Amino acid sequence: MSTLQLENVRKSFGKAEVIHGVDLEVDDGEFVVFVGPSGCGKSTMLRMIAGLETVSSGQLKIDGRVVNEMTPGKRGIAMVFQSYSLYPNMTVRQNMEFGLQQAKTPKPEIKRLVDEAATILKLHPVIDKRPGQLSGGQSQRVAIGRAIVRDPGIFLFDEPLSNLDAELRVHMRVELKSLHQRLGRTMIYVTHDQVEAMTMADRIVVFNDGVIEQVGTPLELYNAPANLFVAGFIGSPKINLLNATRKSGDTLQVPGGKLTFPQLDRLSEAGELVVGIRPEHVVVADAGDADISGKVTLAEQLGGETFLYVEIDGLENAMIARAPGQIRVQSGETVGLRLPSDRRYLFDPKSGRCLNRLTFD
Amino acid sequence: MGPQILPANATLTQRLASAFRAIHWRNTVTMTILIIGALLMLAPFMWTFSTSLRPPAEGFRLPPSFLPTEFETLRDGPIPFLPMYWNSFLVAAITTIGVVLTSSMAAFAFSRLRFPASNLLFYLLLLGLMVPPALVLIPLFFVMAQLGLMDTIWSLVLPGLANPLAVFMMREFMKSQPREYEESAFVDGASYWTIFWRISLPQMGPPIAALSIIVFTTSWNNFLLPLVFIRSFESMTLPVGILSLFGSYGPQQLSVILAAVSLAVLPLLVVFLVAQRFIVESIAGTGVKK
Ligand SMILES: Nc1ncnc2c1ncn2[C@@H]1O[C@H](COP(=O)(O)OP(=O)(O)OP(=O)(O)O)[C@@H](O)[C@H]1O
Ligand SMILES: [Mg+2]
Repeated sequence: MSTLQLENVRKSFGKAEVIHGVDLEVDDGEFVVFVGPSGCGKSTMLRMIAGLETVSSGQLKIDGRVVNEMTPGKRGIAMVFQSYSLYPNMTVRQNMEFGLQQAKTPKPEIKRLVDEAATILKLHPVIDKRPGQLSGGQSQRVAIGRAIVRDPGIFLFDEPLSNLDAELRVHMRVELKSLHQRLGRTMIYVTHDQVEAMTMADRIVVFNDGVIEQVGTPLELYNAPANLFVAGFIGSPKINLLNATRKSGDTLQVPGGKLTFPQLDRLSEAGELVVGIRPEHVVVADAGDADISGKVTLAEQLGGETFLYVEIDGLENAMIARAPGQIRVQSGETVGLRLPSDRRYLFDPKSGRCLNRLTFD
Repeated sequence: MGPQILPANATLTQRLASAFRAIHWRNTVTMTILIIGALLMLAPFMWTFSTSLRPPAEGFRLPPSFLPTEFETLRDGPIPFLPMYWNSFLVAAITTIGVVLTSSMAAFAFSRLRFPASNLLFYLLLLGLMVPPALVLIPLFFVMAQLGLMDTIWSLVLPGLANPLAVFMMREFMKSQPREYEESAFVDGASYWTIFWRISLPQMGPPIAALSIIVFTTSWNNFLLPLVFIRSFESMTLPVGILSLFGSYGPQQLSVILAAVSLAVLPLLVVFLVAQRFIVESIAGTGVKK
């Protein structure tokens, strides 16, 4: 049962500031995911919340209380590290008991809580083994078990699944999500995998270079990215971006063709703009219907869908189109592409800001 | 032809033949040189040890006889050899335990905790390495006299307890280890002491083993401090003690002195054998680091 508030939080290592004033509110029971490219400060942010790094300026509040100076053990949090960091000299059971012993929990209670967690996480078969004898997935479970026995108000996860293979990752993703539903605790989860972010989060916080670019539900970020960075970060494959030059009236010149934007003047007065459209919204069309055309350099047939990599005006891989089903195209062939007007984003290249709002049903 | 896999029920001769074939004969020259080197290293010890087993008169006679009479001479002689032996052991053991504790605690602080001027303090400590021990001998003498510890084993133990080299060694080891175990424990609500005692210390086995060998050996062999601080036989340690054996037995009874020397080397061998298992294991273990 915990809320978290960050108010203008900053962090410097020596002279270098790496977190430049972050404001964020996390509600009780929320599953919040921090995403962003490597080095943008996600781990630093999480470690400040945990109390493993000091806050250089600003306020960090848990349940409304400023905790800047509080030691980690008193904050009512638990953290799962990327490397699991299970205590190597202790068995699985001792690993899980450790936190409870520090809290001076009575022995019978410790046993009950550990057994309960072991049951939830199916750890009984390995409960007397040492971390060195566990598989990656088991180690991961123990790390989670060590967190849940303490029943913290806030769970912190720093890329907990990145050391697992793809299949196990998907599996643990589902397990973690159902654990969240079962425990109803606030969870903050760091990842740079946007699929993990989209599938697990109640809300996603997109970090870039020590600032928050946007906060929102997965679909909010997908439907209405605030800027080029968020648009590029959310969605896979990445959104297609075309440099556009304003022609007369509502018409934009883009590589390989022309696009009309209704009421373009009201959106922007700039001469240079950027048009964005997601691969799944590009439609392969006949020459008469198409907005632009280009040469297919590669067609990836996945059975259920086809990805076309299209070269436009000599720009290699200028656009990726995802077409449903199986399309018979050879590389080298010319295709027409329609960019539906209700699926095109318009960005200001200078500020990166998104200028229009699309509606999805 | 390389070594082949033998069935489980192979006879001894089959096994020997297989092992013999597995020797790389191209290395014969290297092996010979190494064996000669090893024999040269061992020769003084073998001479010391075997001479110590002979009666004094036979000190230089060949072939040697293997009568362990000198150890008894030593035990019952005018100089209290066994108490000195015990003193040496006490001093070395207490110093070793003390240094291991203080240096690993200091290393924990220097590598895991953030406190003002920690680097400055560490460099000051390292400066201590540059001061020759002989230089502090006289100040130390006055301190011990003031404390009334002259002529007790504590005058040998206390100066050795703070050891900058040991702190340096342990800190470098801890810095090379991931901090996440300690951080995990910190988040788990453990106190610094609990983290040190239950998380950090158990991981320091290998450097502690190495450190123990160094400290124990240095302390065991220490000659300067007992020479200056100790006067009575009751508090005397072996290095100075053996010197006084020399005074009372002389070269005529070389075998008695060499018996003492043989005995004096023994604990070092034991310490080394016990600790080296640790070191070898840890070196072998680093390859499969997770
Ligand atoms: N202890 C430190 N001292 C100095 N700089 C640091 C320290 N820890 C992190 N940084 C810097 O802070 C920035 C943010 O690092 P952080 O580890 O938070 O990134 P991240 O978003 O977690 O990246 P990744 O996805 O690779 O884990 C980086 O530029 C990093 O170099
Ligand atoms: Mg990180």
